[in-house]
Amino acid sequence: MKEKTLNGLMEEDNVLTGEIREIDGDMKTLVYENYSKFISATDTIRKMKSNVENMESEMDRLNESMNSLTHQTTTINQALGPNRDKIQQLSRAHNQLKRLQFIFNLPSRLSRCLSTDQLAKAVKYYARAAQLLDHYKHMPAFKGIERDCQTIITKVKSQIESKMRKEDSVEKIAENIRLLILLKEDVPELRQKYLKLGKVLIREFGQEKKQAGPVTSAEELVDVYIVPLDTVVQYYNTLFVENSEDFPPKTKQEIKDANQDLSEAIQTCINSFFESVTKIIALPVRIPNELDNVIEEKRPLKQTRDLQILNEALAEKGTNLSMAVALDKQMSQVIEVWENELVNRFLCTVVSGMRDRMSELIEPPFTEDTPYDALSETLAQFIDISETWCREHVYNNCLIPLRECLQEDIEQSSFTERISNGLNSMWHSLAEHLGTFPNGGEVSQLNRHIVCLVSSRLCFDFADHIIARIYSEFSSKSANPLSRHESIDTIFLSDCQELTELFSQTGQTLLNNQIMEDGYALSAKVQTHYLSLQSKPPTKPSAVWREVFTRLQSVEQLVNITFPQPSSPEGRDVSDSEHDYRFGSLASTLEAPPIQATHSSQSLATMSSGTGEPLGNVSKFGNDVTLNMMHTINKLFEDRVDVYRPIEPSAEGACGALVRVLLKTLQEVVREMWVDCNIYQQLQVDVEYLGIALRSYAGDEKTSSALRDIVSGAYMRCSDPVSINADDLERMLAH
Amino acid sequence: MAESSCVHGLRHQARCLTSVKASTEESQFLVGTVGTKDNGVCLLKYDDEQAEVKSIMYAHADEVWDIASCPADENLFFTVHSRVSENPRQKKVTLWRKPVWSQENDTSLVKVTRLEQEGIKRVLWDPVKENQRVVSFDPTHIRLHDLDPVSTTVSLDVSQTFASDPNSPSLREIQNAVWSPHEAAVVAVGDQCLAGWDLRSGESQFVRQKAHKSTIRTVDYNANKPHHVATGGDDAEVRIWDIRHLGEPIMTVSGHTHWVWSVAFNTFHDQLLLTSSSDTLVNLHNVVSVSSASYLRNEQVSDSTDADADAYWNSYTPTDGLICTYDQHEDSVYSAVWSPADTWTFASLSYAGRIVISQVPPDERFKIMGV
Repeated sequence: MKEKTLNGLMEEDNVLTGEIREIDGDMKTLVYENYSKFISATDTIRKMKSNVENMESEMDRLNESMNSLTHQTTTINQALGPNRDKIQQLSRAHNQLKRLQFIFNLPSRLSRCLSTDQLAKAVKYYARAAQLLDHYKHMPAFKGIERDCQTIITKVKSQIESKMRKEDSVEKIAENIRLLILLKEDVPELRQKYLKLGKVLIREFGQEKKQAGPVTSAEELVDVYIVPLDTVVQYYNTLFVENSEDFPPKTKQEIKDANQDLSEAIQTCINSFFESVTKIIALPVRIPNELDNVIEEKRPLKQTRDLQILNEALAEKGTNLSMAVALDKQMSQVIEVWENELVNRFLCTVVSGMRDRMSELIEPPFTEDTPYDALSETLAQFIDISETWCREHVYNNCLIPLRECLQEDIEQSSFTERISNGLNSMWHSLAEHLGTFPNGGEVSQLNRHIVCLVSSRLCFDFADHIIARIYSEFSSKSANPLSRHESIDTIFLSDCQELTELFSQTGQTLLNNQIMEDGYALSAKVQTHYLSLQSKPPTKPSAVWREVFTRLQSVEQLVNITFPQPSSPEGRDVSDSEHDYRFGSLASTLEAPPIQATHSSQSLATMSSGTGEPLGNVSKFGNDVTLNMMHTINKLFEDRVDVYRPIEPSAEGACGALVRVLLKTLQEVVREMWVDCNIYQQLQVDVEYLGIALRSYAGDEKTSSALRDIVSGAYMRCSDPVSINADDLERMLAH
Repeated sequence: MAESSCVHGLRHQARCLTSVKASTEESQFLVGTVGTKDNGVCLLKYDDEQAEVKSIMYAHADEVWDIASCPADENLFFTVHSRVSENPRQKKVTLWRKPVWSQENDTSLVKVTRLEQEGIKRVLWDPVKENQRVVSFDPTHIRLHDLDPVSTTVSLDVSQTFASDPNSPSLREIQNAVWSPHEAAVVAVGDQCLAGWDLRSGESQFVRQKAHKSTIRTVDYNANKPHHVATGGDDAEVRIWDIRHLGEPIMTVSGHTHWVWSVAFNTFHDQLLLTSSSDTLVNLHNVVSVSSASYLRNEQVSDSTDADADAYWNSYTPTDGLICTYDQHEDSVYSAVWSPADTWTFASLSYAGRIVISQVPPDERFKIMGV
């Protein structure tokens, strides 16, 4: 206010004046309104004043009358006092008499009920009197009555029982049983009777249905088993398990026994229920056999729908059953088993498919005459097609249909778990299958080699990318269909790693076994040859090596086909192999001299010109003692080499392994064989020959070191070693 | 363990090593050399207190391919030998008597007798009738000889057994053999085949073809468990067989990376299996699950009702597997043998003439003895 301008103050003043006027108006209106009320109140008060004056005298009169009334009542009450007690006594006696009459009449009443078939009423009467009778049974009169009642009640009981047998509904049976319980029949016995009758009912009902036709649908199963069973259980529970007003309270032991009796009794029904379930959800035989039908099978499968119906019915109509015997849990177990089987059925088509493919591969079998190009092309195609087939089959024909079949009625997590288990066992059986050559049937060595090498290649490829790809495709599309991200679900990660390991091991074992089979055979050939060598001057390299190189070459070719190397690091190798393979077929290379076939003519040229190799100067792997000593010293610092070790999956790896084995064999055999001067020279020739021939397979320091070792070994064994003349050596090598 | 090994160099190439079985107080070994000159038979005495080796070399002109020390007389032994630069397929067999150790200067061997046959690969003393008879074998025959006087009493042509498949990836002749310690029978290996003969009747007891993937080079009989033999071969594997059920080996031990040249069960603790290979390694394996120790242990476990005792046994139970690899050799190890004097000591020989005398690691010893 203090800071307001003059105009502001004026305005404020106007507003205040307005408000004051308004309040003043309101006040006046209130006064007018209340004034009329005040007037009428004054009138009323005046009227009241005049009336009160008369009232006082009337009140006095009323008081007098009341006093006399009280007096008179007391007098009457005193007069009637003694009689009233009598009446009360009489009335009590009357009641007792009435009750006695009820009891005395009880036998006749009961028999009347019995004759008119009002059994329930009879039980009600008896139950009412039973306690009394029991209480007074020491009195002779009551005893007679009780005896009579007992006879009748026994009749009643038997009638109830016989009636009960004819009942056609669980409800009625339960009612009869209730009566019997009221009649103090033995409860455990009654339980059994009830369950027996209930079961008979269910069975009859089931048979009736079956007469109409075998149970084939889930709906029928619900009608035949779940609903009736549930009713039986429901009444059973009211009668024997739950506490109610009608019956004396049950002990824990009784309830326990009751539950046990129940589960024992209905186990057979439940079993036959599950039998029928298994029957209707049984998978058609053709799923595993005819691949094409898998895809065409309508989805969701009838079985899935049936299971769903059963599951829902259990939830709605089988609550008592589920509570009593955990039927829902049993059901989910059945479902789990079924789902696992379904998964396995689908996935085992992968293994059988691969098996069929592998047997088709060598049908018709390859022969030694099969041209190299044709073989190469066939195998490359086979491997490619098989891998694609496998990947697509797993995804399109197994995983997708399985998802369509299953995903609707189970949770994502348990679906993934089922698939994960199924896939895992499928991979294991596939690995086992690929890892063992099918026995039976005469298969030539060549074909066996081919099958094993192809299997090995497949295993390596599975380990390398196919398994990971299948898992990542599946997890990216199942977890989040929108995600384009190719990553593997964490659930599958450990599986994927384990399987990768398994397959690469299987592949490695296959390759090793296959190559070592040749290794052992060639090694034995070389040993046999040298151990039986006769002493004569050398004329040419030992014939056994020619055989060895022929074999080595065909191994190289086969491995090269099954494990082609994308690009060779050294240009020389490429030209070598091109050179080799232009010969076209295994058959034609057999005829070609091994040196020329294995090497471009370059090595021979080098040798004769003597530019690169110090060959003219006695020999590369000479017998010079000092050289040997130096060599021995060098050897001290070399690492130990494992002769048998995992073979690299490539032609180079395979041949390198074989060469390693053969050189070690030669080294060993030289220590045991006969070495005189002639044989020493023969060994020199052979070693030179090997040095040249092996250059492409394992032309490294290790090879030449091994070759030098062999010569020095022979030198040490010979008492009069004379090195071969260099010219002779050259002539023999050119041979 | 490397630190408890004692290395001795012969300065001469050698491929045969045997223990002197008659010397049960002191570990003694015999080694025969091969080479063009200065061949000999070397006697080694190992003092395990000092971890010292004393040696003496007896001159032997020929290359020595095998030695067999008489189990009853430590001074008697056979050598299988051939002349330098002659074909070793015509090996000869001579029984020698060496001078007693104390006569230090005397290094000459005295020829006692010889077998008439040539080409014999090995001689094996009868482990029961000690110095009276021996078995010899060449690539095709197994023979039983009486020694006093020398005569051949049984001769078995077994070439058919060891050359059943002309294309087998193996050497089709006998490679090695061993007496059964339990009866007068001999178990031989060669080719891919393991076979046994009764020496009284000369009848074949069993034959298992394709027992290895390549040549079988060595065999040993478990002295504590009848019917159990171990074989080693060019597939670098060692297999233990029950000769009554030859379908599958009862155990396969791998670990070597080249031919297995020798296998030897320990005579007392047959769960210890010694193998040597041309990959330059000597491996000591525990094969307790197929050894006689397995039923000994089972009895003890079933007897004890005490849970503590069970736990005790379980925590100290030796399990199958490689115990130790001995890598002191740098060349092929052709032989590894247990000492007859000390259960825990063994010797191995590589081609370079290096002899390594080693011991079972103490940890393993304690486990076996259960302390």
